[in-house]
Amino acid sequence: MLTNKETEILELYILGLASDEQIKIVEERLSSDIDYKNEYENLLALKQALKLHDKYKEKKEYLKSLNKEKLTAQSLTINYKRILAVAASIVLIISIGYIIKTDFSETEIEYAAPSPVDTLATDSLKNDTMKNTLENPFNHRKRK
Amino acid sequence: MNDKELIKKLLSNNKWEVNASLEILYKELKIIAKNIVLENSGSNDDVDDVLQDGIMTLYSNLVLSKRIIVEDYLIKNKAGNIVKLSTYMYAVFRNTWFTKLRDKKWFSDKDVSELKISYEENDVYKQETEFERKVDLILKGIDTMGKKCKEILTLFWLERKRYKEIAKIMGHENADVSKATKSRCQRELKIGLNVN
Repeated sequence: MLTNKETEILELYILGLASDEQIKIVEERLSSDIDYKNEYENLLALKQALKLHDKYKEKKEYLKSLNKEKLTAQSLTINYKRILAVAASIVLIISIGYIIKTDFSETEIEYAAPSPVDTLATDSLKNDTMKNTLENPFNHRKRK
Repeated sequence: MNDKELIKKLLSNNKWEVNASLEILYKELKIIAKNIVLENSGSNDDVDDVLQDGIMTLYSNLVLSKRIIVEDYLIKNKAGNIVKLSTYMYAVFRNTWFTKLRDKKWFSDKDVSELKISYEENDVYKQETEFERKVDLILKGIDTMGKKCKEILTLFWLERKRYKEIAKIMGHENADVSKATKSRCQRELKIGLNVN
């Protein structure tokens, strides 16, 4: 385990900011101390990974955007289907309403204009009844 | 587009060509990921996760760390035979999914090691050095770490900013706070290294 000071000097060495004296100390330790060399490799790997990560992240974001596009397209299709379904229902309700209304108004016309036969029959009935009443007004009161 | 054209474009320096290849892979490989995930207790959301992670594994191994053996823009195994991209990706998706199942505690380590296809995937990798293994692990670690941590490490290691400047940029009280924060973030990544 390195001390904070040792790690700090190692970091300066990797960044190319170490003094000549510090460079000498680091290089001596690297050739003789396995733990020190291991820590050096960890820090170098960290620097390398940070460099690669930007590219990695960019591509990951791109793949995510492909998935989002797909999801947006899917939701648009779903919305489009919903709108179509609602529109179809409205058209259906209006059509049914129109058909029912048309049927009823046609029926009313049929009943509103009674056939001449019916009229004659009613008139003749009325006439017969009236005639009988006029001819024998007390007929129904007659005693046998 | 055949394997050769796809790999050539992925390895090119042209951002648009790389993105176009990724999009083709995303569309063409979906059916493979879907079959693996849905046949093994996964949902459609899991399919998308596995698909993305799998393609990122390919990108990372092929382009960033260059672990995959490639000759004349074709993937080859250690015996020198051509390995189809779909064959390699089948193994990657399968291994990605079973690792996720293990993480969800649905499968034990033993189950997963039995179900993983180590042969097809690992057979195309170059002999990796300890250093490359570390880079790969840290790369994955950085991807899961917080934004602030990544920012401070980038400022320190790539932009070579000193703690005083970092404190100004990050809005820290002083250089000591920046130094402590950077050390903590770095330690988190190192813990990841030792665990793995």
